[in-house]
Amino acid sequence: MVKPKGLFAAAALLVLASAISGCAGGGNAPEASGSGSSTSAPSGSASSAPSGSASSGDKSSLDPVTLKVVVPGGKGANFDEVLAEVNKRLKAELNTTVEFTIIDFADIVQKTNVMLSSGENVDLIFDAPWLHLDSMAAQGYYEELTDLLNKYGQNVLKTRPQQMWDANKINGSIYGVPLGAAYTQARSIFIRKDLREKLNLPAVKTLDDLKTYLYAVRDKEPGITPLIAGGDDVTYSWVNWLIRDDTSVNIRPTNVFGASLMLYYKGNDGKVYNFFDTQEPKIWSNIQDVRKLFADKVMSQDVLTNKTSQADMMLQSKVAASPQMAFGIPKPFNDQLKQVVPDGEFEAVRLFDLTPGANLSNFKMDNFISIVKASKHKDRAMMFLDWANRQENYDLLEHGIEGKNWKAVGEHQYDTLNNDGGIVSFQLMLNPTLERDWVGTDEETLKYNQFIAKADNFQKDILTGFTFDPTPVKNEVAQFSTIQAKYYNGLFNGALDPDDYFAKFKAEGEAPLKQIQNELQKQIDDFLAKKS
Amino acid sequence: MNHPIVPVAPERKWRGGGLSERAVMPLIGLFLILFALACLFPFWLMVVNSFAGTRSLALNGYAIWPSELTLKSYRFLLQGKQMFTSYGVTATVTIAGTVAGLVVTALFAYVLAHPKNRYGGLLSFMTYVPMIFGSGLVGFYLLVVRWLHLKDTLWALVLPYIMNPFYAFIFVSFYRSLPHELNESATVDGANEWVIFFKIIRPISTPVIATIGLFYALQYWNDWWLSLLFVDNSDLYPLQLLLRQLMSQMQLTSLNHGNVLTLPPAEGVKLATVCLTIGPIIFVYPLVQKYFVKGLTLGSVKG
Amino acid sequence: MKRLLQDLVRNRYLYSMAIPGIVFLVVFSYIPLAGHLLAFKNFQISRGIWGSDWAGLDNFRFFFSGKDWIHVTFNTLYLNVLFIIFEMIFALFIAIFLNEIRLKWFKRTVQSVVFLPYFISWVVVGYMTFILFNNTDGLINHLLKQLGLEPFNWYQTPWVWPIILTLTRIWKSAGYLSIILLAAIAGLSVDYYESARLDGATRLQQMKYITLPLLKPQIIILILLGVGRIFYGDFGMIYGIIGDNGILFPTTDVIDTYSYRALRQLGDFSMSSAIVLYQSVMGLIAVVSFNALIRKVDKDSRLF
Repeated sequence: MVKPKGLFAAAALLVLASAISGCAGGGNAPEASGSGSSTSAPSGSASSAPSGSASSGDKSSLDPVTLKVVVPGGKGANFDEVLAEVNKRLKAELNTTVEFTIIDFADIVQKTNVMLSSGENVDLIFDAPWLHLDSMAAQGYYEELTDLLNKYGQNVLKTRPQQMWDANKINGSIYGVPLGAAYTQARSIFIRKDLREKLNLPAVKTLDDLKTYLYAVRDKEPGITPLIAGGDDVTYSWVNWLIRDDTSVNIRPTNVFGASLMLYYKGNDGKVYNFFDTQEPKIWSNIQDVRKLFADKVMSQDVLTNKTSQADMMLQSKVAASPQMAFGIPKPFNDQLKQVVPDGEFEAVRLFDLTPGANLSNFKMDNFISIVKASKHKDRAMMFLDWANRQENYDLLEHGIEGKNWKAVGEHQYDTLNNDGGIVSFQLMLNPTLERDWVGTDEETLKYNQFIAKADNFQKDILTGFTFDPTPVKNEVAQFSTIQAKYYNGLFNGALDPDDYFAKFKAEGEAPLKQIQNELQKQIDDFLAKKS
Repeated sequence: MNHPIVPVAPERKWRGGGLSERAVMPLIGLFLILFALACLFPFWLMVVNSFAGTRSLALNGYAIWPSELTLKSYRFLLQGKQMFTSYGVTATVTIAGTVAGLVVTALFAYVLAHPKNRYGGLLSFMTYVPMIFGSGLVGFYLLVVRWLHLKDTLWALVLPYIMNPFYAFIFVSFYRSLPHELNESATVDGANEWVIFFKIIRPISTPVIATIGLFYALQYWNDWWLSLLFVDNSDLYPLQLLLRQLMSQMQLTSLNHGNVLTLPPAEGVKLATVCLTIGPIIFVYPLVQKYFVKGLTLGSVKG
Repeated sequence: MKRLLQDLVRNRYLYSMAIPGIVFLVVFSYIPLAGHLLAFKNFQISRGIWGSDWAGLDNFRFFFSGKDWIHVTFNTLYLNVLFIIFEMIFALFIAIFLNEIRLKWFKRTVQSVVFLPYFISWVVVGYMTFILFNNTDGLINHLLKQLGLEPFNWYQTPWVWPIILTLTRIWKSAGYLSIILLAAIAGLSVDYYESARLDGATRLQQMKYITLPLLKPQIIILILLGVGRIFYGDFGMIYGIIGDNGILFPTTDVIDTYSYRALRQLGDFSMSSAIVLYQSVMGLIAVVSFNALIRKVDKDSRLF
């Protein structure tokens, strides 16, 4: 009758891990240091490939192996079919088959904790900084991959630029293959093209143009709210969204509290800025701005309480603009709008700066695939990853059967033939080199997408490779999180009057934030000192 | 079973109360109707909109009568063999769990409530404490998987909920309201407690057995937590887990650049999920109601 | 010891009935309690519960060193008290009134219908309350405008929400609780009513002086059971309806939602265990005190 809820449930299963490994005499937890237990060392065991084979070597003498791969996601309708083809190819080439265990996103934290800590038989597992990559690596659950990559993973190495490899090491070691196709998030503001044309407005290119559009919608289209932002997700708050694209200051969140800008970086000087201290003009003026939008009833009066997603609000024709994490309109989006408003059409307002080098990136990826240290088939696992990072196999895994589910359009594009896609992409092998763009993407969007997929277009963030360890200030982080939850979304979306509430926010939150700032700065200074 | 609770002093004279007899019934009726409508209305919205089409849901939200009706949401959920398997799993677990739970708890609570039991207070306390402290997840998982080796079995879905302190105490409160004479006359006749329980107590406990039986059934029917923890084998997926999976699958398909017009409306599927889960229960409940029959007579005890 | 054994043997038939229950209780409820130890430890996955270092009272610091803990504890308590009282009142009304209905079909229908809200998840309820109270096209404001009144900014006004939340809880749970009471009423002897009617008691008097008092065991046990959980806020409800709307926190933020927000970023299980331990221990104290009180007033109604 008593069911753990929310966070308790989510974090709770972390514990079973411990209990299991702890109670079973500690036998399951691998040592954090050391080169791994002898039974699974590549050179010694009979079940892995002979150590002499390089990636292009003779594979006919391999023993049959079934790899167990654990990833998040969902099983599409054609899962079995695609998997059969995958295994067919794998068996022929590497005498290997794979078994995917696909876990729902909602359950991924719990299930992966369980599996790892109970020493379940897993070879490859998905992990991420937002999941528990750092802590699992620190506790020695994952294999260090440099050797395996050099021996069997040439394709894995080739398809990712050096910046990506360097930036995604943990304390100098590679504990997971970084998975990603871009160095920053695609972003724009979706607006209604049909409404804009109806109001006789030219294309929206700047923030001022956007405001003209919004006010016109407010005045002339009473049934639709002009603007909505993300009242419950800091990333999507209006001020955050606008600041991101301002390359004159390059203000970025420090990620101690997700995308919160209370502690931020500016430019590339390695300093931590505290918004309570600086009241940074750019951020402050944006806050004043959005407050005006709210007071003028341009920003939805329900921005903090709305329960439907922004995307759905747009699809239901209830709002005329919202921040979205894409550079262009996906076809299904427009199709769905047409079901509700036959003449409706979306377009994207991109404020992203396309000047090479104007944007900073720390090249950090959001997803990784790791090889479990306790696996008995580490060599084979890397061979499988290598196989997956070849174009024809990559396409099979991501898009499905060619000719049935999709078709190739040139070297870098694809078109869908039926609704069923592939079985994995960002969870296993996503990289910028082999990724295909959908053929229906328009020129403009394509331009932007391709821009963010090139590492050289970005200036290297001085803090590339740095990860913050919150343990010394975890109490302050917990305290500040609750204080921030009271004020941030309200202030950064215009629902709270800054003249009133900022002072209150500051009074409550100043002390803990200062401590966190100091700790963060200290760790950064140590990091920078070590680098040079 | 304690001494019968005498509600009023025996010599109380019944003087006319405040409200006239005529006014009472209509007022009662009004209250009940209003409350029932307040409960029915949102439910109606849910059911009827599970049949609503995409356009209707987008434009009118939860309409009283959707402008567009469709079976798409249900068809999407009811496709494939998996649904039958899952219904089967859930039904099995529910029936087994309910029966086992009733037997164990009814017996246990009888002991708790029995005046001959000297340790009743202590035992009650021990039963109640876990309700306050909750079950520590770690130990629980370890127990079921490592020590009892129940991973990927139906046992893991049934055993943990069998002994429920809350339901036990409801039984206790019921037993306490039974007159003790029932027991005494039987004991005099030489019967032991097991006989007394099954021959005398159980037949008159029908209302409470029906109630707790219903509650157990609900608990098992709605559960997804146990299967989330302990079941990886899709053949053993209960209904709730399967429905969750289908929801994510749908979101996945809509992300592909394919034809989304064939997809059922997401909001509709969410509601249909709820309806498919509640459906069987709604049909079972009226059957249970007939056990709430009035009338224990003490005639059996006198004389 | 000898006395104990003698007693067990003498009443062996009775005590043997409790064995299955005790087994399940110990196995599935007591053994898992070991997890609560984590509140005092610095949890490391690879070391397990037993291997992790002791952390004394560190995990409690983040909660108690702030100023908010008193406030959220107070919110948790007063909201739960409101819920317990009003749910019980309405459950009683429903059960006692339904008992008076003679029309079978009406009785059965209402009985089924009031049970329905129990099945609607808090997420859906949150969505429905939004439909009612939002500023853009909320139904309540729409109604107010039609009546010529000023629309009200519900989601920015803290003091109305305890009322709305209580009403929602009544709607959702009173039906469920009333089933327990109805079952109890069904088990009551008709003799009491017979004699009262012969003496001229009205319907109302019968309800008030016979039915209601005879439900005392159920009422008291249900309340006591609620008291034990009185330091646990209803996370599902409050998060589903209030969500992250900071403006409403002063009147609706409870211990569970507060610590969820505090630990969301960190995911520290030792710290969240500490909070659960706090809630458990306080609940235990509350119920033991309450039980002692009941004992003094009416010995037979006690829980233990």
